[in-house]
Order: sequence, then C-alpha cells, then structure tokens
Amino acid sequence: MHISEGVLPGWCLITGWVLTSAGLYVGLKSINGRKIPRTALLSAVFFVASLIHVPIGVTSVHLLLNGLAGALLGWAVFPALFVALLFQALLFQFGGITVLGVNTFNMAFPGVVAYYVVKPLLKKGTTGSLIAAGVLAALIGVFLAATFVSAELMSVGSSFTKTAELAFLAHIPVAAVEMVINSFVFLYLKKSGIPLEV
Amino acid sequence: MDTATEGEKVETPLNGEGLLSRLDPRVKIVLFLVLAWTVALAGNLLQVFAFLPLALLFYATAYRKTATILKLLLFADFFLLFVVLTQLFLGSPYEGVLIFFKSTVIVLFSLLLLTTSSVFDLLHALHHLKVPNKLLQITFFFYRYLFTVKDQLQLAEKSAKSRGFIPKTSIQTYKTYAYFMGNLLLKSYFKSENVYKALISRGFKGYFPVFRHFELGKLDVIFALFTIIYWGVAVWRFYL
Repeated sequence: MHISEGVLPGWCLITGWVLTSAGLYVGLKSINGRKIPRTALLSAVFFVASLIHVPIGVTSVHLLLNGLAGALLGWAVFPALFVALLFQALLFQFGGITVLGVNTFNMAFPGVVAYYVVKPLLKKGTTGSLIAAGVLAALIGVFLAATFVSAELMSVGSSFTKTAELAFLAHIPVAAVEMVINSFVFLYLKKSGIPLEV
Repeated sequence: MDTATEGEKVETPLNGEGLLSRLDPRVKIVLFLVLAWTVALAGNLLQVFAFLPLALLFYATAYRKTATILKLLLFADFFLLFVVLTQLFLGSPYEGVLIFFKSTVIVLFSLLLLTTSSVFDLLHALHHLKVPNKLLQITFFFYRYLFTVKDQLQLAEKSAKSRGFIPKTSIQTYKTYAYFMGNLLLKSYFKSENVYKALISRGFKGYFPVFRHFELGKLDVIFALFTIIYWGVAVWRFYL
C-alpha cells in the first residue's frame, strides 16, 4: 500500500527522503558490475509480480513482496524498490514524487530487516528452514511496512486514527498469502540451484 | 527457447502531448519539484487553491487528453480514495477535502510537467540534474526489460490456464503463483547475466551515448520565468 501525494505533513515527507537517501547510498555502494542489470531485472520481476491479483476468500490482494525482495537482494532492495515505485508514480500516478522517499523507506527497510533475519535460514537450506525463512520474510516485510504506514498516518493528526487502523488491518490477508508464496519461492529457487542471495 | 516477445513500448501517459511536451525536461523537472513541494507543504485549502489556476492552465495545453487525465486523477489511486472516504465519514471532513485537492493539484503538475516527456528524456534530464549514474542505469535497465518480464508472466499464466488452472483460495493456486515468480526470478537472473556480458563485449563504460542533446531555448526561459513569478507571488500572498 503506498501513500498518495498530499496526505502526509512536510516533516514526514522530508524524513522519508533523508532515510531513503541513506538507504540508497548503502544499496548503490553494494552493487557493481553484473549486479547492476541483475538488480534492475529482479526489480522488474517484483514490480510485475506485485500486479498479480491473488485470490483470497471472496476478494483478491496484491502482494508487497518486499520481504522476499529484501531476502534476495540485501541492501540493493533500496534502489530496486525505489525504481519500481518511481515508475508506478510516473506511469500510473500511484504514490507520487514527494512521497517517494516515505514509500520507498516503508517497503525497503523491512526488506533489509528481513534480509538479516532470514540469511542464516537460507544458508542452512533444509526444507524446514526455507519454509521458516518464507514465513518470517512475509511477516517482517508486510507487518513492518504496515506499522510504518499506520504510524505515518497517525502522525497527520487525531482524525487519522481510524484510517491508520483500517490501513493496518488491510495488510493481514496480504501477510497470510505471502507466507505461503514466499516459502514456495524459496523452495523453488533452492531446487533450481541459483544462489538464494543474489 | 525464449518465446516471449521483446517488450512492447510503454510510455508516460501524456508523452508528446501539447505545448509543454516541447519544453526542456530539465526545466520541467526542477519546476515540478518546486511546485509539488510547495503544494505538499500547504496547511490550508487557500494555499492549495492558489496553485489551482496554474495547474488548470497547464492542463489547458493538453486538453485533448482530458479523458486520460481524468481517469488518472480519479481512478488510479485507491489509497487516496480510501483516505478521503475514511476522513469524510470517520475522521475530519476538512482534512479529507484538503488532501483531495492537494493530491489533485500535485498529480496535475506531475502529469503535465513530467509525463509530457518520454521516459528516456526524463532519465536523460535526471542525469544532467546529477542523479547518481548507477541509479539511472538500474532505472534504464528496469524500463528496458519491464515488458519482457511482463510478457513472460502473461505467457506462463496463459499456459497454466490452458491446462485447466483456475485461481482460487487454495494451496495449489498459491504454489502455482509462487512457481511463476520463481521461474521469472530464474529467467531474469540468467537474462541479466547475458545483458551484462553484452554490455561488456560492447565496451560499456556506464554511460549511454545519446543522439539528441538538450538545448535551453527561448520558450524554456519564458516558461520558467512565468512559473517562478507565479510561484513567488502565490507564496508571498498565501504562505508568508
């Protein structure tokens, strides 16, 4: 879920850009040579995959996949998601440029946390540990992002309490679906033999 | 064999439309940032309305695309709809209206100043505006291969459908989608290796040679002066 233009107060937008710039700095430093096209193409995969409508009950959800992206890309998740969100803002006017900093941070920082948490599990590589990694990546990615979005909405003012609560609740089905999908993605990648940390 | 077609061309929604598309994207990006941040920092409706005439004036240059603009303004953003509705019914209606207008004015600026240039011109302009080259390379490759990846996903979906796959709430469905993603990741991983080798073999040094260079014309200067004067007067009258 990305926040639109005009919702957040100025200090929040500026803090978002400062934190995202720091994340981008570390992320860009960590990639060189062949990792540049790799990050770009994987970013395109996450962009396209997040447009799939995944059915759940009577409705369907779009996935965030930030936990999965973080687990695979490490700090490079910052530039990867920044670019994806920039294109969403330019091509479809989802999100926007002034909120790009906040939106990138909301998505990418949980990805980095997920990276450090699931790294040992991916290294272990047993079926159980890969499933645990998938579940953890989804829980950290989605709920941390939901917490950031809700906290930012709360910061606008007291009239936003209900908006923030509903925004948080909307993430629960996404987390549930992502836990299953992430686990299968890790198992698939393990079977196919590409390094789980790209 | 890679049966996916090479990416169809997708462009910014108003590319090449109206007078603003003829201006230098460097000027437009800088002006957009000034205007968008000023509106984003507005604290009341009056401050937002001060910029509405300018946004409408810009819109008038691309009036032939009214349907596209309205569609993007009204229906593209579910989050905005969600915030405005929850504010109108569960929070403060004034906040809801304020946010609606702030967002509308900023999105109008974004549509008419940014998306009237092509993606490539915008990236080229960002290079002149000192955005880190590595980030621009990632952006360029992302744009180049986005639709190749999308075609691959559509092909996978079509092939699953032709084998009787119907998406529903089941582990089987989630597994199928996960394998789609795994497959896309795998293909993109190998594709990126080939892209890298192709770049190296052509002596790529991190910069794309461009055929057309930007030149700051008379029209750009007049437009920039007009916009900055408007901005100055609006800020002086309504912000200070």
